[in-house]
This record gives sequence, structure tokens and C-alpha cells, in this order.
Amino acid sequence: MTFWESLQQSWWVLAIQDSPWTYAALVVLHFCGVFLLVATSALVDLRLLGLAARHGTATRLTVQFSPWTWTALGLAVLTGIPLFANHAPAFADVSYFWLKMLLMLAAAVLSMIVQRNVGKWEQSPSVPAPARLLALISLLLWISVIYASVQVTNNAGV
Amino acid sequence: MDILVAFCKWLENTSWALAVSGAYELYPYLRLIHFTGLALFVGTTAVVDLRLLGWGRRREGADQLSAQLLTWNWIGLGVTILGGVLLFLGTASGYIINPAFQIKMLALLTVIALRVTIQRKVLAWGGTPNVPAVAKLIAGVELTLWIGMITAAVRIPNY
Repeated sequence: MTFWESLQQSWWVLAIQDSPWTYAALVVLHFCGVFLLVATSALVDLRLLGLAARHGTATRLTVQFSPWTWTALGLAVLTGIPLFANHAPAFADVSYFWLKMLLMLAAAVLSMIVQRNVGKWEQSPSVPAPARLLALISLLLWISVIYASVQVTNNAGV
Repeated sequence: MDILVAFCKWLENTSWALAVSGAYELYPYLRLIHFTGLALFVGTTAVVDLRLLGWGRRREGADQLSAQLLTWNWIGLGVTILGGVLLFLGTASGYIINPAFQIKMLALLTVIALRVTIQRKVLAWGGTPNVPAVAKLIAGVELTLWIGMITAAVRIPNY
């Protein structure tokens, strides 16, 4: 038995498999976390690009959103772990899964960089070009995380 | 219901639907569109509801937040529906008789009605230091409906 197979056979994962509603609840909470995470990050990025919420500043949006961004990331990761364990051998075999993990890490790091620097960037009359580029990359990374997620279930046959 | 099923059968055989359902490699992209729209729609709805409920930071009022997010809230709904309709077309008559799908659509219509209500009333609600109880109730109902809708969506393959 491989490591991933033994993970899938551990008692707590078997308990989830025996309870379809626990599994469904994990999926629902995972989606809620991802939606809130992506939206709160994307809106700050869109604001920096001048495409959203132009009556206020990106700094104020960040103050309001950042606790939700990280709460949502926590929720997505905490529910993602048992969901992965449920399909561990199949998911670990799909390269999109590892790509998703990498993209998610990169997107989270970039969002953190954006949140920390947004106040500084907005002190200049217009948002500096490198900052806009970072915001654009962050936005594209979050979309590619969703794309990789879709491909994981597609390729693992879930 | 019979009329709806007949309509869906007709829909499945339109050249549009046949083109989409025949292109299997398109589905991941349709899901991407649907989920990206959902993230925007659910996320921008949830932060306003959470603010009305008084959870999280209170730097912005619910009225300001709602106004700031209004455009992307409706863009999110539009993108969700675009992806959703394309996903629906190929197996329309299967979806329409699925109880989980029916619940999902009813919840969606209710959420849209609540969105319009909140966006119209939030100027009055969010401007006061204490958000009225009725606003909190509507925000709570909307959040609950979202969770119900996602649950229904997840359960669709089980029926």
C-alpha cells in the first residue's frame, strides 16, 4: 500500500466516506471558502487596476477585506485536506493537483505582498506600473487556481 | 412541467446545444467561467451581508461597501449565468427534472430578489450606526440561501 492509499484508508477518512452528508458539507464549505477568498483578493487587484470600486481606495478595501481573505483561505485549506485525503491516490496521480497547490501558494503570497504594500502604492498620485503588474498577475493566478481545480476533478474522475 | 421538459428537449437539439455538448474538451473552460463568476457573485454578496450582520471589520459602512461592489456583483451573476447556461444546454431535460437542480434555481431567483432589495435599501440601513434588525434578517437569509444553493448544486449528481 502506498502512502496515499494508507492515508485514504485511515479511520477518519473512512468515517467521512461512510457519511455522504459530511462529505457534501466539506465540499460546500470548501466552495464557500474559495469563493470568498478569490473575490476578496480579486476585488483589491481590480481596484489597483482601476477597474473596480473607484469611489474609494484599494487601501480601504484591503482593510475591510483582508481578515476575510485569510479566514477564507483557512477554511478552504482546512476543508481541502480531508477532501484530498478522500481521493488521495487518484488526486496525487493527477499533475493538475500539484500544479493547483503551487498556483495557490503563489497566489496567496502575491496577495499578501499586495495587501502589505497597497498603502504605499496609493500614496503616489497614480498606482505605479509594477504594482499594477503584480495585481494583474495575482488576478490571473487566482483564475488559474480555479482552472487547475476543475481539471483535478476532471482528470481524477470524481 | 411537461412544457418545460418539452422545451428542454427542443433546446438540447438546437445547433448551439449540439455544438457545445459535442465538444467535450470545452467543459473544463465552461466550468472555469461558471466558477469564476460564482466567486465574484458569492464573494461580493457575502462581504456585504457579513457587514450588515456586523461581523468582521467595520471601517466601511454596508452602504459604501454595497455601492463599491455593485458593478462586480452583477458582472459576477452575468458570468455565472453565461457559464451555467452553456453547461445546462447539452443535458437540459435531465437537469430540469432533477430535484436538486430545481431547488438550486428557486434559491437563485430568491437570492436575486434579495440582492435587489438589499442594494436598494442599504443606503438607509447602512447610513445609521445601528443596522436595523430587518436588514440583519435579510442578510442572514441571503447567506443561508447561498449555502443551501451550493449544497443543492453539489447534490445534483446524486439524483
